[in-house]
Amino acid sequence: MVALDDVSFDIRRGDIHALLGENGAGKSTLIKILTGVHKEDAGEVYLNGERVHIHDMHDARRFGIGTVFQENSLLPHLSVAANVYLTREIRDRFGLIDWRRTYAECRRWCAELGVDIDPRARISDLSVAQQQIVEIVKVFSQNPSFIILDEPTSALSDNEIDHLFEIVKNMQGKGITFLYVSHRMEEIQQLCDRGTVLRDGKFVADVDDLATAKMDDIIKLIVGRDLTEKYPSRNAQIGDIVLEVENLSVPRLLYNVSFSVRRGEVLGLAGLVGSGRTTTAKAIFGAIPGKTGSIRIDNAEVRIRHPMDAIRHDIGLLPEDRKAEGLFLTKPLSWNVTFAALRKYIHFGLLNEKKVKDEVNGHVDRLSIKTPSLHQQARLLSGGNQQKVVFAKWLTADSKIYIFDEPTRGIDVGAKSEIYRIINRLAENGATIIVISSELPEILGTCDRILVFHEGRITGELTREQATQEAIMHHAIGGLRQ
Amino acid sequence: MTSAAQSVRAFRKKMRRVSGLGVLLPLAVICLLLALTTDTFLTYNNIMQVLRQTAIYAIMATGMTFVIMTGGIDLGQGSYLAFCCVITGLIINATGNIWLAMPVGVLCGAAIGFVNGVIVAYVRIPAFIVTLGAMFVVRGFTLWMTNSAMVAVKHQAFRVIGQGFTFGIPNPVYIFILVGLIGQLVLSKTATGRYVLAIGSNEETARLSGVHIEWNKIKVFMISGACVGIAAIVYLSRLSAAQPVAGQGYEMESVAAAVIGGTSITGGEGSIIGSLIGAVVVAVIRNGLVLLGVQSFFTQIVVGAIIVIAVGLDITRTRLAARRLD
Repeated sequence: MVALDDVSFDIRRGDIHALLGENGAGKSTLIKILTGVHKEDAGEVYLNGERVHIHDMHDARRFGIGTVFQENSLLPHLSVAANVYLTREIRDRFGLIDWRRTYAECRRWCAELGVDIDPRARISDLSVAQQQIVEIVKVFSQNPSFIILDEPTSALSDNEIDHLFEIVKNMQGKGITFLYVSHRMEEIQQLCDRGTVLRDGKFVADVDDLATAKMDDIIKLIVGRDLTEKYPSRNAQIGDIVLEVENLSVPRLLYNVSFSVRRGEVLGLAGLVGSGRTTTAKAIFGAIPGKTGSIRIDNAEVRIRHPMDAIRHDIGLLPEDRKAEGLFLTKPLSWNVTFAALRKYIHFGLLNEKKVKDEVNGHVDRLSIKTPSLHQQARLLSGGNQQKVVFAKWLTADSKIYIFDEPTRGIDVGAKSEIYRIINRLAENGATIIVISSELPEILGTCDRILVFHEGRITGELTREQATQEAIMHHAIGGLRQ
Repeated sequence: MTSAAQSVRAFRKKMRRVSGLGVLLPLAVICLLLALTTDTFLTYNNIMQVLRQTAIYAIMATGMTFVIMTGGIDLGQGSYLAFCCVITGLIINATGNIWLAMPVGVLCGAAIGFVNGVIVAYVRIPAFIVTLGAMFVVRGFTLWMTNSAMVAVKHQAFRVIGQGFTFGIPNPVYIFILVGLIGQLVLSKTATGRYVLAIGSNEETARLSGVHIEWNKIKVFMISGACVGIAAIVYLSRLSAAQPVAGQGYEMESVAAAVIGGTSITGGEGSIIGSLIGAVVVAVIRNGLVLLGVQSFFTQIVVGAIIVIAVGLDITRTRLAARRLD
């Protein structure tokens, strides 16, 4: 797989430069190359007109490149100052850490940024926003000339974002250049000077005057891709409402999500990563604690507090990460296929191997799973065949409601269309289906109706006719006002 | 290819799927060496002696294997052994009814396991810590209960279990083979067995496939406790006395048997048959070194080294498998 293909752009000194693109457009890969996490196969990086080779984080630091990563990288049990000076400890003449000077230095950096944080505070006692700021102080204290901010606002409230922007502008005033990655258009227009759009790992365009550019035009650049893949047509009868979700909420992740799905219908959940799609799926499936709201199946209220309950109500979940959540990698194929429905094969307390073999053979044929034998360990199958094994698991369990979270992630094109055909066949046979996907063409090509999520809420509902990539993207980045 | 060769190949393939049999080859080599270097090893009396010594460890290892299979460990087994011995012995002395005393002893073991399991599953304290605590608590309780005095059991019929022979083979041997076979059956043929392996293999997938993780974790600790209860009956019957200090360090023999038998210490892989063979390996090595006239501290060194080598091989194998995964 090529994550980045021949991307060239430049960033002007003292600018805040936006990096724009969908999930998987190549933004993260680019950042990882600039910080020495990944190594580029070809191409050059120039810093202040000079060719640099960044092999690891130390090189990046030496060249004055600092990064605030999406995931918090602080050690929660240590103090603010200890984190800021981690691996750069200030020592006294006996080689011991000089805490007095460490705290004083840390306080000085905070003051310079106009940040009010106690250097002695434990990280775990701080709010997420404060932790984010500590990350920035840490990077800033290394005297960088260039700072990469990777989705720094994703966990922050509006006030906190304003505060963060003040700090960034303040640093910009001190001559620091920024590369700013975010999905939030408004923020980008508010903060950034110029921008570069990536799509599918390729350079698309530079946007020179972000502040005055039209949001629609930028979205077009971000998604502007043709429906190249073929989606097989489906001939399913859409019937009565089967699953009805009302005011489903999960503290700090999901807010009052309500929708319903019918027999034979394929409902798409679109949105950016972390927008609440997977949370919705797991909440329905009983895999997330602390959810509130009601779920009705065939007009009857059901209580689903554990995946066991969901399975009893004939719900099957194909999880986002099949290796970590969907398969037993070191166990045989037949083991994996029958696992959610073991009871079916047990007579007088013992497994009936013959029945297992017959049924698994049936699924292997019907889904054309390519495997040398039923004893093949799941890890030795290709990605597409692994995914089919997870499909087979829920077919075996006789599920009636299927939730497919990223059903074609990391699967080659041939296997993808086979999976679309499986989904179609299920719908035609009267199953109720929810598909979560980050690939807009896939959502458009397979779903009858699409719900768009943004920050834990449904921000749009589109029928197949209304839906376009641009329309989905609009709702996905929270562009309700347009 | 001839059909004979084909069936040999099929048999080999099948053998490879039954994990734990890998240790049979080293066992055979050790036995062969001992048979060649001593004239006492390959005698009826000695073999029976070794097998009888194996019994208690093998029964305990059966339970331990279930716990380790979920990724846990039960460090309290040695203490429960003493506790169950004392309880069983006291009931026999008080009532003279061994058909009451034996089930109660086994149930006591299961009850201790239940408490351990609830704490591990619901309070989410690592099994290592919980059972380390149980090791001290149960031992202390046993000493307090008996005033640290031995409980002598005088019941003629009861002795048959640990001291008797049937068809020339000591009764404990039948018991450990029966317990092991039932354990293997549960592991490979029942839903519980599948769930236990699944939890050790990938807990999240198991949960998302509808497995009640907590209840199954409780079950394995109960199985471990119940196995100790059975081992306690054999132990008590053999010695005709319940020592409150009995079984110290037995939990380590039990872990050793399991890991030498191919059980992965991180869970998800292993077999009961393997653990039984593991227990035999430990007993044979001990016996062999005695026969060879080696000083007893050397036995400790050898057994210790074998544990590390066995686990080292296991981890290397897992790592190689993981590398092929990428």
